[in-house]
Amino acid sequence: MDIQHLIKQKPYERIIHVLRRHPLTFFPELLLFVVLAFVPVVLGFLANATFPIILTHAVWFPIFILGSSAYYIAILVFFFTQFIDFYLDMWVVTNDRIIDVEQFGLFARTISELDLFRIQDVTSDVHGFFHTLFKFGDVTVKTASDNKSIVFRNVKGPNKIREDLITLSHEDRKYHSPDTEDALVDNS
Amino acid sequence: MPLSFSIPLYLFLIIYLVFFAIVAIFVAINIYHIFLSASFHLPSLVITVFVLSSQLLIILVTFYLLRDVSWGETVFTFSLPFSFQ
Repeated sequence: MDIQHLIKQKPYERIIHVLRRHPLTFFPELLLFVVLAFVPVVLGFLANATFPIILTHAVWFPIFILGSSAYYIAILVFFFTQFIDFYLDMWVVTNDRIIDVEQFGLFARTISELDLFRIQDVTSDVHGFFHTLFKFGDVTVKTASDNKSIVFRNVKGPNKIREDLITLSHEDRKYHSPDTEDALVDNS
Repeated sequence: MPLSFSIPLYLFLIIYLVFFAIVAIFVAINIYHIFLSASFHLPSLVITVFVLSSQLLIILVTFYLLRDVSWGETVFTFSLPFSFQ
């Protein structure tokens, strides 16, 4: 499947941005995986130092190996699921709308969209040392109704995205002003 | 005569294989999500290859280390001080 099918792209629609979270925001999960990967190694050294018989015993050695193997397989699948959670969150900006695709764990996903001409307020927020250094942050898009907003979390170049969204919103309003809509109805 | 029963070593192997089958389903669901959300790009490809090849390597190393194990060994034997007679 491609992005065009995922968002059910309309004939007149152009994809302007496909945004994902900055790769640096995945670093804590990566670090956790590396730390967890060393646990059986440390346990192996401790077992060798305190109960060396475990590593040669006819029964305890295979149990230790099976346990360590299961542990590594489990942390790999945990890491993979964390990556899916991180990478499958995306925001697609077209010249007509914003599509927000959010993955929550393994079995939950929400897709919502917002028409550009309804945008009332766009805010970019770069907050923190690494965010400032690597130029990533949040972009909050609000509509006139208070309950509808989309947040692009930890995306690269939030200020540029905010400016693009404001420009696109102004352009899209031209096609949705009452006069234009009446003209379109008359022509059809 | 007291009642006794034992836990053989191969039971741990069976539990391990069942666990591996469950994990394989989880990995398959993750890959399906990547396809479904049109996200098969270089980063997801690299991570997928890394996870799959690491799991394959873990399985191969595990079975290499356990190649000479006698799975019929008894791990525990429980004895109850009574019998059902």
